[in-house]
Amino acid sequence: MNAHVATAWNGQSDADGSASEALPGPVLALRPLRWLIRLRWLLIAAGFAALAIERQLGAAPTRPSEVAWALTLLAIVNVGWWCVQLDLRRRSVIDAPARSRAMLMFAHAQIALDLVVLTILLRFTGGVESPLAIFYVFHTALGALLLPPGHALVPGVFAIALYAGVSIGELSGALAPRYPLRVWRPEAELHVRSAYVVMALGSVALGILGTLYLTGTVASRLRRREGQLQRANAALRQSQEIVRELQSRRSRFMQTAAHRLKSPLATIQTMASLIRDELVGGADARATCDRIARCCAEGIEHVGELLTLARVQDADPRRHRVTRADVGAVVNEQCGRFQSMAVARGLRLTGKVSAGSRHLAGVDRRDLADCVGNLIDNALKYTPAGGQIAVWIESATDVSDDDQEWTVVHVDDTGMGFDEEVLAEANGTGAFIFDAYRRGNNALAAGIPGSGLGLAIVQAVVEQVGGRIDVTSARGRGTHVALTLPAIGSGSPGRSIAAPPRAIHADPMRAGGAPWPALPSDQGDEKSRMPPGGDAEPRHAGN
Amino acid sequence: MKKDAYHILLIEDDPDMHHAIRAMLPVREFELTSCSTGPAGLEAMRRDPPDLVLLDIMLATPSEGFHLCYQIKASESLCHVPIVMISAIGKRIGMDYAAELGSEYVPADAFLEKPFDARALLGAIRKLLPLRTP
Repeated sequence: MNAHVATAWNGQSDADGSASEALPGPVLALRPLRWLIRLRWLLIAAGFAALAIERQLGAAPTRPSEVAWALTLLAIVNVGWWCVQLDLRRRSVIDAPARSRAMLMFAHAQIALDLVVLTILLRFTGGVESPLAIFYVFHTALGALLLPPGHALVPGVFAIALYAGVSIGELSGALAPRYPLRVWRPEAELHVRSAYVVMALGSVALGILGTLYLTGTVASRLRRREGQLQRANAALRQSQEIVRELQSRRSRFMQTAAHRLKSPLATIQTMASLIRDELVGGADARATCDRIARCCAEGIEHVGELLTLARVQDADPRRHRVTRADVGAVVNEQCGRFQSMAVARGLRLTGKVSAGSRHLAGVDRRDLADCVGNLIDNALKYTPAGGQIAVWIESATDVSDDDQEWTVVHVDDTGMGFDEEVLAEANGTGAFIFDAYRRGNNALAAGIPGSGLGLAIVQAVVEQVGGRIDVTSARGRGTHVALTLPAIGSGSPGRSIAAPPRAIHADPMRAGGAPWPALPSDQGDEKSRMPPGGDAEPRHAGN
Repeated sequence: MKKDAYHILLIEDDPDMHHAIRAMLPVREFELTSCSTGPAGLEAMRRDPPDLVLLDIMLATPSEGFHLCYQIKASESLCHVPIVMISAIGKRIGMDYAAELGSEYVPADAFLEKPFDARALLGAIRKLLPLRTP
């Protein structure tokens, strides 16, 4: 049985002053149990006080000493209960199930002993006629509040049995002599009347069962509400954590952006000081002016990319659902745009899109152009003269996802590749290569200019459309980037994406010189149906 | 390497700053070696410990310069090398590294905020390196 003690008073401060809400459930249940022990001290004190007053008033000393002994026994046991709860409190929270079972037994034992002592007191204070019988109902209510629903019935039935034992014992004469409540004034002998005993027993039993039902119902509702509140509280805390993290990331981004924007300006001013202080002259002065001009151009380019990133991130992601882009046209356009730059750098840039093939994707055309343009730009920057850059498209069907169609844009270069440690980071703790302003050491060492925003822009767009990015790279051998975008069949409406999954995947290339994915032929964009789990299957984020 | 010249190592990812700093340092007094990444800079220091390091804070990551600074100061063979940290991050955008110099947080010996001119650079270096008389 998965026993537990109800945590009726969660969220209040604990007796030791610590915040209960920070403690696990089993510890919280000790608080009402401690409260019960304190309440028992009050009742013991009240019992002794009543006995003393009775003697001071000069009442006939017919009250047997068993009453005082019963109260003394209760006091001794209460000290034991206090020690038990201290021991339970010290027990390791790690062993929570055993601790919960121990506390359940503890609660049962306390209530059972209370009922036995109450019955002894009842026996010597009027028996079936004693108004102290109301405390049976009180303990039943306590049981319903402290114990799980099934367990709450046990003290209720036990109380009825004890009261029935006293009533029937007195009626039959088995419990004699009888001690009235007011020893100095004998009362009517109701306990020997069967009808009265049956009515009293019935009333107490009904009272106990009714209390069990009502208290149990209210307690269940309270526990349900408490559970809802705890879940809502947990969700709120999680949201707060996310907001805090976002604010922190935003702050870091702002600091980095400020630095990156300030850097070219600072360089310009520093180099201007060279000319002003006549530290350079003649050809060197002209070269310094050229450097200043290039810094200005880089600063302007950086601001442009920052604005693009801001536009992509701030725009409504739903724009991708109501639009479609002809991926082939975008790839051809971007290849054409960078062709002269490729030639100037001694590179071969090839866009392999079959004439007549049509690949439509649910992505904003301008955003797709930014993505493809950034990938080609990166490939051009990081590929030495004589290298090759190939861009091609293929269609894929994910048979594990209701035959979802995907359009995959491949950008492949024979450039310097990512640092292995950067890819290891991406595979381990997060795809840092897509973080804004993240640049590889090899890129810095080679003095290749760049804002470090290109891949962040690509990531933002692909995440918004629910696609994914696969990066395969090897230092000194090149990089292959595959953008998987949701395809749209001719004439069909844009696919609705409920929650874009994380779309990052980075793999270092297989050690031992694995070949590059073969560059496609002119028919390389023909549709391929990929099996689930296959190497070439477009995997969804989270797989 | 010139016998009487101080050996300065510059670790900075901006090639234009390499050009500017090289122009600012008198060649008869200083010999400049430059690296554009943290690992390359550390390797160069271990190979040939310089008399002073000019270290940019933001390299491959926004805090790589700090990590490098901690590594240098934690190294028995390199901890004596004075470090001048240089960065465009300064008081103007909410940081005050100069106020934290020498602390556990910024264990560098001097801080120079970009932009700076030759006088500021030489002033910072000469505070840490005594003037050598030929």
